[in-house]
Amino acid sequence: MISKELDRAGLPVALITAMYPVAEQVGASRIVKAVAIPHPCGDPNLPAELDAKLRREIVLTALKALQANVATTTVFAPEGRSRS
Amino acid sequence: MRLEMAEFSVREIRFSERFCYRDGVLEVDRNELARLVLRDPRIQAARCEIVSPGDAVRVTGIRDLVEPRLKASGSSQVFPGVLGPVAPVGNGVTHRLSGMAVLACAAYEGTIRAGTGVQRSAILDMAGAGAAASRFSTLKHLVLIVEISSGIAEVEAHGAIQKAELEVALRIAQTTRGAMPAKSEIFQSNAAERALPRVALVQGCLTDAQQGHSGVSYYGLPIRESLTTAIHPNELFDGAVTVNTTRCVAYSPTTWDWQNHPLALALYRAQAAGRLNFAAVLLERIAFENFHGKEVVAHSTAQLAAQMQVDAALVTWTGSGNAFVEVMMTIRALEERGIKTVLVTYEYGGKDGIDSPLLYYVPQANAAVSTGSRDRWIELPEAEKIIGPYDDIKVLSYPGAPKTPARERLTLDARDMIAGGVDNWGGRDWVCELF
Amino acid sequence: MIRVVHVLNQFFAGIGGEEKADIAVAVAAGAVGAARGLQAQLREGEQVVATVYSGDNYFHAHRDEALNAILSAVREHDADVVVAGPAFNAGRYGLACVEICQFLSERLGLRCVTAMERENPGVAVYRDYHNEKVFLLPTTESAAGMTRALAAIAPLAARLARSEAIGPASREGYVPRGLRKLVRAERSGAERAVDMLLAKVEGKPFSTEIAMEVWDKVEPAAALSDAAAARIAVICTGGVVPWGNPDGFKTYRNTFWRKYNFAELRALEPGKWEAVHGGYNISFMNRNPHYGMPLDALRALEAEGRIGPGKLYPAYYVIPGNQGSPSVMRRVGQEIGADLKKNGVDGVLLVAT
Repeated sequence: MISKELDRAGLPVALITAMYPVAEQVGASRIVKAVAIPHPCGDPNLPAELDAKLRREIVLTALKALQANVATTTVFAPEGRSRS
Repeated sequence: MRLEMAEFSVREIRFSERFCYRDGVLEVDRNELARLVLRDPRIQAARCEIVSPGDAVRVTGIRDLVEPRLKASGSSQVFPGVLGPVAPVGNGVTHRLSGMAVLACAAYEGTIRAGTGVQRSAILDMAGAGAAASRFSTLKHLVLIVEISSGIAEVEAHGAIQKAELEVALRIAQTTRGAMPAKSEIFQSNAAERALPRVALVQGCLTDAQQGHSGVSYYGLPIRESLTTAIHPNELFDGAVTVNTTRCVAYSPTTWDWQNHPLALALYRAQAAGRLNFAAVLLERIAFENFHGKEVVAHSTAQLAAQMQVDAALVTWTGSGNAFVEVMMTIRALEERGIKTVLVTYEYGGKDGIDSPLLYYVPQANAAVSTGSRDRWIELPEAEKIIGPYDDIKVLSYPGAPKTPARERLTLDARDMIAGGVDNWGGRDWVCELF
Repeated sequence: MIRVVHVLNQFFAGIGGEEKADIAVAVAAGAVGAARGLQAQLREGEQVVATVYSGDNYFHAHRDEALNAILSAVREHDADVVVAGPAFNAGRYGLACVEICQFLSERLGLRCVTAMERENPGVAVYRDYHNEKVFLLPTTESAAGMTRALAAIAPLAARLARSEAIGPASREGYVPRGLRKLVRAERSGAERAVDMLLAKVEGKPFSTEIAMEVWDKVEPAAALSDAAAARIAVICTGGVVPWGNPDGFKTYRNTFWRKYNFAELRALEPGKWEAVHGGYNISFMNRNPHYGMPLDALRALEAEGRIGPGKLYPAYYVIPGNQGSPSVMRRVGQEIGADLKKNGVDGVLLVAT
């Protein structure tokens, strides 16, 4: 909901969420796949260094999404993530 | 499996020097019950009260409700794996004391600050607007109020509250031993009848895999992240499924609700009327924390239903939030296999009913029963009397939330805090209509 | 006696066509034009006491004057109920009818009836008003359906005038206002569910009690040409806040937002922040707040030049999103958007749980 209002105001927004099908249905424009609901930006099952690397990748993907021309709801997947 | 449910209805509960059930009057020895409960060192104080429908009373600190039941024959006992050994239940004769419940209240502050593991208690008005909103206000209650000793973690506090309420319930139910019931109902599978549609109850169970008690237990074992499991409906009636008693919120069922599951009862009664075959109850763990988990569990349910040759299913859930995504995905998976579904759920909609009723949709969910709204505001009048461990309550449960005297007028922005305030499974006649 | 005022446009008042679309609000005593048809459908003791009309173009060009003139006329004639339309497929007229009904119900507390075809642009505006006092009946596309439309309008108008309660849309036939009310049904939900399921299995008709929601579409905002040159801000709906929750966020159904400064910080230290949210297990977030507000990653990307120097807006926005009512979240989104623009932010990361 919030992200759609930002789009309406002309502010590109990258929505980082693990529940991307819900975001898609509601109509958010730029969606970045997060890891899981209780830890969207990272994975506590990984050693600290890899967890931080993953987080950087997710945020970087979000920045890339902000620079992407999208006509409609688009989902971006951070690199190096296995199926999630 | 064949279960004979013998009903002993209670029209009055009285304190006396003995335990006795006769002609609808239940006598209990409150001191004996307190002594029973205080045997547990995790409990440092205990007392009993009685409340009846229409009493100008607000009960606070509610953690759970249980209907007193007893297995009258055989070697197994109700609440297997919790009160007694893990032994199969759902057969033989079970006694139930209808028209009443043990209302378990506890003073317990908890160690977790927020999130899905934090302790929460509910309130119940026995008269007025708050009573009208709850299915529990029409029962008579033996209110069990305990104080948990300090420094006890959530899973131990749950253990103490649950043990106390179940032991009290069993002790009370024992008054019906040897007595003749007013009426009995037989619950038996119809395996031979091939011509009728085979119907399953798909019961979504929101569980928090990381908490000490996940929220839903089967024979006392918390369901964590398992795949869908088939159980027999009679097991529900004998207390095979139990809950986390540190948390009472209206959008999660109480133990009483599992014992009296309205959809299981409705399916059995439709079977008795020759309309369908009640094939199974499928417990589906929901609230997977990523999308992959949600997809797999939805598939798991549809796969199991197809293998059991189920033709149609009532699909419902417990809890709140993104777990509902699984419910919708399950409906899609079932329908894609040709298994017809009806969704039974409460709806949202906000204060004025203008917001979306549900969080997520799939086109296959074209048949839904609404059990009313969870989040229309409600005003509770000032209460004449408070019963329970809390004179002051937190209407909002966040870190740093202020306390309010429980007696005051309360404006609640949802029914979550009222025990029985949300119709989880269609046991009552609530609905939302579009105007 | 029931006093009805009928509001029409220039055409249905019998004044003229497009050439008369600029006429100002006029009032005639009794029923004129199409209002005569309404009178014919009303019963003994129910009277069209006045017909108020204006040109379609006039109404939209002089909206406030028109509304106030209509208000005066309705007040003067002491209406018990107002009927506007039917507008059929006439877009300007349909929109005017809805606006008039909305205005009169707000100012006078009057209940109103209007009518138009379902695709008339007035219908969407009517729905968004969610006004319990205004009822819109569906009509045919063309005025060939006039008699039928008036035959439906008349009894509803009379019931409204008599302060009768009106039931749900599916039963009464009006277009719903999107108001879902908590009411009692005749049977339990469980019984209704079994019946609905068996009807579905047997291929018999059934009516779902919850229809699928259609979400409104939004045009994606234009992309940033270069993120490194842009001012970037973060919104966190996972509810990561300074330890102690100084602003008293609830764990669900929040209605306000706050900003928290992190200008001097390179990372969020566990123990100094906590997650306030009722909908997920907060223990991960409490052990590592970066899961919800990835400051460490943002600082790393800043160091790499992916975010320009000084371009990371030094405060992040919070509203714990659990059970957030969509209408509240819309307002919050508008407020945060305004604040972001005020602070020269170009692009936003919204971390949700």
